[in-house]
Amino acid sequence: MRKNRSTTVVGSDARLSRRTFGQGLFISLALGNTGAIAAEPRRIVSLDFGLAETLLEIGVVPVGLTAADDWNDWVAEPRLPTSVVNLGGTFEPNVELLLELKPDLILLTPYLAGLSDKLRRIAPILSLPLYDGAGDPLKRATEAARHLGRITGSSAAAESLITRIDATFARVRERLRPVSTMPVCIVQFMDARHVRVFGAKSMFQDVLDRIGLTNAWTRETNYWGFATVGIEALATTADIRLLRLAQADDYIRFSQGPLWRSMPFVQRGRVTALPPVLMFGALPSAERFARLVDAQFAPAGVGD
Amino acid sequence: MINIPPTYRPAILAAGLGIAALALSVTTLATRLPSELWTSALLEPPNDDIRQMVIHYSWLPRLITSLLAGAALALVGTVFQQILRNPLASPTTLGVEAGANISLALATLLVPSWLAGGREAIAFAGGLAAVGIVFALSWRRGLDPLIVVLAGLLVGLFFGAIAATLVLLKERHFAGLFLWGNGSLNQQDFSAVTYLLPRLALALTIFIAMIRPLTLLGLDSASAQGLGLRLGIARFAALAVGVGLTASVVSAVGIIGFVGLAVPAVVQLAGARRFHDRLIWSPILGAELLWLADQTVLALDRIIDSELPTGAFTALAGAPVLLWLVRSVYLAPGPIQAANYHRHQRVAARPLLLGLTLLLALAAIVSLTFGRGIDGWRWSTGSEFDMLLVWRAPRVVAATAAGAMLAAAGVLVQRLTGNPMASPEILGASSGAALGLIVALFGIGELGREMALPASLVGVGLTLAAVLALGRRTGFSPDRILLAGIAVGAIIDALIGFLTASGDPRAMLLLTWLSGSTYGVDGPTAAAAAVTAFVLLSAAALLTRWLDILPLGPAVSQSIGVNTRWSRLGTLVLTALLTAAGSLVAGTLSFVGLMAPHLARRLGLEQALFHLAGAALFGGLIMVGADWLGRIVLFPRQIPAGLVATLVGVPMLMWLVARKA
Repeated sequence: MRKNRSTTVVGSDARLSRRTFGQGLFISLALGNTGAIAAEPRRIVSLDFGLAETLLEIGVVPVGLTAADDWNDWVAEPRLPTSVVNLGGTFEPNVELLLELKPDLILLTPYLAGLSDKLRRIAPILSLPLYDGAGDPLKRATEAARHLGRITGSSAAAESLITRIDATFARVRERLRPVSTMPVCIVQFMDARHVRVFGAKSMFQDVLDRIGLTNAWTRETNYWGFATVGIEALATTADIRLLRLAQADDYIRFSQGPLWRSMPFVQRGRVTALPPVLMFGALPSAERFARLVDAQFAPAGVGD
Repeated sequence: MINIPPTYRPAILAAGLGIAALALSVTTLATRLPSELWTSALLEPPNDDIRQMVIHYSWLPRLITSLLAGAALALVGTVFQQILRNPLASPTTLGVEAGANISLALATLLVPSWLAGGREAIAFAGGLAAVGIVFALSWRRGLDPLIVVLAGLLVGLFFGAIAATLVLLKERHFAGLFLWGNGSLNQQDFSAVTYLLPRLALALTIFIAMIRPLTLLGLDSASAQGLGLRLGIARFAALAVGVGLTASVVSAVGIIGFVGLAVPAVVQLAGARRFHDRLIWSPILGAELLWLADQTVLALDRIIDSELPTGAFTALAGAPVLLWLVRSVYLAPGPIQAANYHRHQRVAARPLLLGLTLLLALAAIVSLTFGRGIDGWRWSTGSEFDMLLVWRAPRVVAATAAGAMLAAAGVLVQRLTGNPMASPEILGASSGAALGLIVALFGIGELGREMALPASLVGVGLTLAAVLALGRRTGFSPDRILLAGIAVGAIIDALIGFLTASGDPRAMLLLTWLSGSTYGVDGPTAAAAAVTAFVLLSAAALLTRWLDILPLGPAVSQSIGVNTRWSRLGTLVLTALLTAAGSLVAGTLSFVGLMAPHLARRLGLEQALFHLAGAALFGGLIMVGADWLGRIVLFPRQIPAGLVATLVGVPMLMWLVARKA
């Protein structure tokens, strides 16, 4: 009965794994390390939104993506083709669907390292860091784009994406020059009394640096570059703008009492809601964020 | 040492706490504003000075809210413990907080527009709904204190499991729920103060007016019933008022559960024995303790530069207090009748066990062959079955083994304590496993399968050692060990709560594991689980003589010639091993260890050996079924088996509880 099994990577590795654990482990490590990635993988699965949006921008449509049903709420742009199969939850990509999709490459980030051994039994994996607690997500995203371009034979597309984004940053920086002295504070409302505020180690921080804006939030941030604080922590005497990431939070009615009204950015009408933009994204999200900031500030910003 | 008369001790404690909290408040104020501006900031801040505005509209209402919430929860805790005659009763045991939490989560998912108008009204309704279910479940049993607490615990767990499922399924949407679930006292206006103050005043007035019936309710059931039906009404009214006040606190600031459990115990320890003394001192000490805790959070905030949720902090700070209390607190004899455990065997056990075995086999076959794919439902046969078997078999084997082990642990611990509410999850061992994983995940940075196993084993070992060390001092008295387990579990839960509230995305990995996912199980792990289950279950079968005798109590056991101390220790160690191994697969949220022994006894399996076998089969059946349902119901997303077991099993158990035996 077992002889009938197809001789794909899946079948052969799965059969081995039925033998001793050590043997199986050896084989899967070997598979992962000896570059079993196809010369030009065609059926790529992504377990990360940031890597998926990078793929789409360099013209490669992944066959599957985890939490694909959340894409429109959190990434919005680029649009996700309907052909992309939803692989289920972020932390537990559906193995049976993966088997059916027969991918030739599974993309993930070190965040999901715990799944590596399992995924290697299905297809070669490639883990690219975007956020690892060390910061520099923009640099990591650029490296990831190059890496993805190289292995998919789309190096030219990757380079043009990088060039395009550099150009966007430069253009936005130029347009924002008149308002660049005013720091911005980027928040996402969590509930009526708390916000996430983005600072050092976040993608937004890197983009602000590139487009010549200062981040008003200089206190410490966590692994992914944000801090969760009460709204009162936003109080500052400085003249700043508040950028509010308005995704899926329309229902949050926070206190707009005397304290909120006495915040300088409220008194001077400097609170702006931004459309959805992925906060833990890669190059495309970074560019989208720069463009959204530009659209909000540059035209009216000069005379503000 | 000066000999202080007991009557003054609560007052001295209150004064000490008050001075400490005040001193800390002055410190936190001083770091925020120069002292010459304090008067103006507190009384009449100028609109254009944002620093003074923050003090007036955030620091000050936060302080007052901490006083009000602390007083309210401690008050409710004292009343609940009085009328339920159970030192472990607290607002949490009625499921109010979980009810509020789940209603917010559901509103966020289904009708977000409602939240704009009535976030707190929704939480309130959820809390009341939870209590309504608790009352409905325990109504036919005459609101028996034990049944109320059991039902409340189950309702709380059930709602908690739904909330965890939602968070796992829509992780990006629900980060805010963690804050709510951990009780954050941040304020930006006086709305929480004006909301809580009249409600607290009203509840306190009602309780004081009811002081005589409430005192009588503290007597044991038989004497109280002799005093008439009026007391039944009084108990119901006091429960309702307490629930209302708890729901108000939850809707205003979220879950700050430990205050309602710990403060009444502290008050009693401080020497306030009579109910009317406790009724007065509990809210005072509760207010002061939460004030002190919250100011500590504020002071830490400046040092570690990140905000802790106060609710998680109070649990972290309060749980060790309870741990310490375990040694000295007076525990009323449990309301459990040991005789319950020794009705004679009512059914033919062997055919029943055979039937259960066949059912388990059927469940395993369905689970291995039936599933969903890109093109919909499918029965897998031939080569497709072969390919899937490699992935499905480990899950089925591990789920069966874990379910059986947790169920056996449940039989052991329930018989050991003579308490049908006891479960291995409550012993703290599974929380210990979680602790090990937290250290691995946040200390080392990664959590591969190969790290998870040793990490959780170390965690279980340390937790168990702590609980056993506490138990040793009291000759392994079941109530105290249970209490120690709950306390250790609470410390660890507080840590988990803190980590999840920080919004750290790594916390999601932890949550996935805690909820009992078989996703990460591979062949070798499943084989190891099966072998472990076989060895440990065989060992448990050897203990069945003890298990038949222990529920009769120490006096009977000793007269028969059983060394109570050693038999308890042996049973405990085995329980811990079973729990550790079982929760590695089934997580800490599955209540298989509570459900399976119940189900087996409901079917009439009374004798220890049959009870053990029946529970193990039920445990395996529940987990295999749960794993399969979790795989297919929301395909391609998967619900962890432990959560499904809770979602499906708990309502079933509640239904059983509601029926008269």
